[in-house]
Amino acid sequence: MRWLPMVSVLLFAAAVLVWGAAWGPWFLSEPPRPLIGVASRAVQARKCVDCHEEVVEKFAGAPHQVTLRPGADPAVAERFAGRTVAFGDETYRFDLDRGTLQFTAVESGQTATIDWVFGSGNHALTPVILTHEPWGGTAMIEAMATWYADDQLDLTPGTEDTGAQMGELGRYHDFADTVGCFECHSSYLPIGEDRIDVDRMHPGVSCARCHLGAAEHAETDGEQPTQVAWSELSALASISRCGECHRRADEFTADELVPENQLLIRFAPVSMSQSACFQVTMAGPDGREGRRLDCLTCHDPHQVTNRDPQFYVTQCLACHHGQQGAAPDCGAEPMTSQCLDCHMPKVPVSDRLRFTDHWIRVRTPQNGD
Amino acid sequence: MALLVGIQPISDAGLWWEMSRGRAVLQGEMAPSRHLLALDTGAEADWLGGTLPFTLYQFFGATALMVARVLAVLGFVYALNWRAGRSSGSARALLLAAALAVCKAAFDPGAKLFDLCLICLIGCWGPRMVEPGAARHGALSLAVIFCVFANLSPHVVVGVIVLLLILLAGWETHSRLTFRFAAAAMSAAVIGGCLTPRGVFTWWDSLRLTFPWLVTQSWVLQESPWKPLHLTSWGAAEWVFLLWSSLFLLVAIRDRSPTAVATWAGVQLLAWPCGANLALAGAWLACATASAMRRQGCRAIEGGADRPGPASMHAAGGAGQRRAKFDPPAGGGSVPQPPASRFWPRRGASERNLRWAAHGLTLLLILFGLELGNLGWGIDEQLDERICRLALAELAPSNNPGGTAFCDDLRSAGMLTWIAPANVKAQDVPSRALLGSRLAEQTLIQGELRSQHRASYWRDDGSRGGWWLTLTERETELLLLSARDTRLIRALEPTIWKPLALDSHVLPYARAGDARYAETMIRVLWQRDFVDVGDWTYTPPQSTGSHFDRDWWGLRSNVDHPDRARQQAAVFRAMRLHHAALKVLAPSMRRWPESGLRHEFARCQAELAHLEKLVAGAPSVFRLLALQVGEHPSEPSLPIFAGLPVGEMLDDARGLGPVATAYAEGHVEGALNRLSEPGPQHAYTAANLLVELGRPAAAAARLDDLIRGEAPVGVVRLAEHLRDKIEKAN
Repeated sequence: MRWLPMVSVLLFAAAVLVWGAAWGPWFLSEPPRPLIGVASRAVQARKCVDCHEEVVEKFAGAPHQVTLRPGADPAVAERFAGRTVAFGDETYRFDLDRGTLQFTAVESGQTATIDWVFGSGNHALTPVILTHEPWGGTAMIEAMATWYADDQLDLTPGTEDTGAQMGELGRYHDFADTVGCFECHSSYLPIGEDRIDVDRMHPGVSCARCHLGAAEHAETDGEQPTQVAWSELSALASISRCGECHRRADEFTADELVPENQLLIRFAPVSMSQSACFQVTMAGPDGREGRRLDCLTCHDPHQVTNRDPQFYVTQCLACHHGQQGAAPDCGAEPMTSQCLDCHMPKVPVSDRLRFTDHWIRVRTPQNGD
Repeated sequence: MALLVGIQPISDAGLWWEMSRGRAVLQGEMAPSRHLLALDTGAEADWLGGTLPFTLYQFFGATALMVARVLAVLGFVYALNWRAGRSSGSARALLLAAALAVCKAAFDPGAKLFDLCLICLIGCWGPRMVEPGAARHGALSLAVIFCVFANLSPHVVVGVIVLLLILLAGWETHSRLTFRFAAAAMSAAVIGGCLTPRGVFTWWDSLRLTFPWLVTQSWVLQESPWKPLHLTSWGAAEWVFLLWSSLFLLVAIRDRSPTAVATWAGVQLLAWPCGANLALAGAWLACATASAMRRQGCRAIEGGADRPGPASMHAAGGAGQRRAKFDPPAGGGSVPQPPASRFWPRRGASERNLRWAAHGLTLLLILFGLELGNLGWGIDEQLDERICRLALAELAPSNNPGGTAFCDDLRSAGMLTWIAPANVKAQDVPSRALLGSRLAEQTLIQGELRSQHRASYWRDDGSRGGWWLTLTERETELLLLSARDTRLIRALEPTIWKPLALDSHVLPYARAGDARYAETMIRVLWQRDFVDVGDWTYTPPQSTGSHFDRDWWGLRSNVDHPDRARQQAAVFRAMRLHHAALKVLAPSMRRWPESGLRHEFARCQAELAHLEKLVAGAPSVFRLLALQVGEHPSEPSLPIFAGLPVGEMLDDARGLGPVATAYAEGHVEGALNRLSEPGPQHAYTAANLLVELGRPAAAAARLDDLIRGEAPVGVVRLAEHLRDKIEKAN
């Protein structure tokens, strides 16, 4: 009996060891990380091309693919190089110097290298300069000047509201803000010690960004399906997926979700979710009654943007076709007219930017027209 | 010693939470946590834990809490002293000093104190209760004790482990302890512990709270109050525990006592994987050590020759001797193995030397282990809820639709539940989140707020991240955050969450646009400008005579402390109010030149230099000089200096060196007086100093002159930037 306590201790130690062996990996686990920062989940389009050649070839010209490019990329740099623009008393100039794009505030005498350019060029291209926080974390300066689709340089959107002053190179973004920008414009974003490893980053939105589980799918030669089949999602889930970058309606407050709010025009999934067309098609018991209406109804993210207005009108007429049980006809104009001019017009959000308003509605002066 | 520890302000972060629970119980709630928390759905075993502190505070104020604290310390000391019996006085003093040093964090009225008292009760009197002679009432007493234990505090499982080792120790001493009695004693304890609103699940809850690492992932615990001991910030208590444990193990091995080794193992298992259990482990270790010393004292008496005199004669023929024979060590202390098992040498030069060593160690423990600088009466200022209460006071109950508040720790949640703004419930507290398996989510939300992960995104475990949706689903109306978490405060600056106070120890935040808090929010917005570039100057806080002021019963009017100034400056810096932070630091640096305030000063200067670099391409010379004399350890590697001709800039700064030196010592007025030379850099320096002296009009005038003059474009940009800031604020 004297050794009973010692035996108890040994038994307990053995139990702890067994428990440790069984549960050790779970016990020592790390917190879950953003999927976009996990190397093992990263897969580039060149892997996908083996099986999905046609889609990948089409995707090469899609705006998502080129939404983030190095400043030195000739396709980008040629739109800036050698050009100047003046805001107030300050002149800003872009120059190509030994293959790098330089940005100078002439009167202030500040110069920096443009590291990355955000945007596909469909609407605009905004150059950024990578810099550091006071304590070393990656930060960036969004350049004061942006290139717009009408081939003009002008003030970067939002600069007026952010307190950036003329003479500065642009608007400063801290580490968290910088990560937020790169997360939506890249497909793999390695981060360590508050620093973005831009050398290993996969710029642009490629396959794995939207098709979760693409890495496992590729590794198993397609045996393991990707985690999400988009066609299986409800329309709301589908537009919310797009909304992870283009903003989701449930990330707005009720007083922001009003037709008068011009900011919503920039966030297509949010506007779409408020549309009667969307809400009616979502009204079924599983959210997929009738004809499904989501971003993919009109936009194929795998190819270049369709510029033909008639294509979009055709999508409207698929429901509003005048037959029994169909959505109501237009009472103001003949059904052969251009629906978009009235119901989804292009609305200016700044002097040089116009976006399609996706809040499909009968527009009146009271609701924001 | 007991008084030195007793007369220290109440500083338990769980004070308001315990009192809120007590208030809820006295209002008729049997599950106070469910009543107070939005996410809690279960009953709790220790539902009565808050009733005593609440009753004391409600009827007699903070003085009653302090009296309870003092009495608790005295009782603890008495129990250990009694348990140590007739062992050497110097050894007992050393034991008490060590025990107080390790357990000093657990004497505030509340669950921790109940834990400590009941472990002490079981450890010190347990051996008496399981004596064969006490068999008739022992089991019943144990059932009552464990019933009380389980209803008052959460660590009843530790009591059972201690009892088990006491019983094992009883066997080890070959006493007449029978298996039947031991089984009855254990059964009584287990059944007693089940007599709570949680019933048999009391034990499961207690096990999870005592050994959270068994069921919770390590990354969750590392961010929680239950982080492993080696990851906590080490002070005297941790070092004393380490040394004491080591000594205990050596003696146990020397004595070849399996029970003592088992006790040592239990104590280590309690403390190391979960630093929050340190005081509890210390109490157990103290009881075991006291028992070992008692046995040694009794053996000395039994031996007779070593300690002649009335005491030995009395004990040898009296009850003491008989008791010693059947008295197993508490929690398995040292076991009689004469002559080897001596905790203390009994005579001669070695005894004298050891006695002097013990006196010396005791003195060291008193000086460095008992936190004598912490003396005071009342409640620690870190628990001051008055500013938070004022900030939330404008919430009109009539038009409040309700909602919840996300609180980052126990103190914040406790403060909210105590203030109880109309219809707003705290979402969770760490202990209930742990029991409800919500702690990981709580930790992740905090991480997302810190990293500004607002929008929805996917994680590698398939879960969805982003704080917006989670907080919306929880109907979050308020955030209550510790002012110590400056990273979180900084991260919230660009978000929809706006502070309702600037100088509270727990900062409440409400959503911009929330009409109920609009007035407070607007006032705080005005205050931000006022403290940063307005007329405001910092005055060290004076005693208000409340129980939150450590004023030594009104003998001291100034209740300022460098940590207080440093924390306020850090909060201002996190809110990007750098000039306000420097206004706080300057007088404090003059008063405490050797404190860590200079480090905070250097961080402010570095961030201002960074801002200046963004505005003008290079920081001002004054800022560079201030940073250079500000003792920042990693100064040369700061990215601010990358690509700058620092040497040339400093060479040009003739005359500014002494100014920066005076400035870095907190003499802002003196620095201004030393500015004699003309020049744009000097003028810009003067304007900055005037802003920090709370004279914005004079600063603006200087800046206007500078802008109109012929200064280099970089300095003009800086001047314009500061001028705009002053103009907007005033």
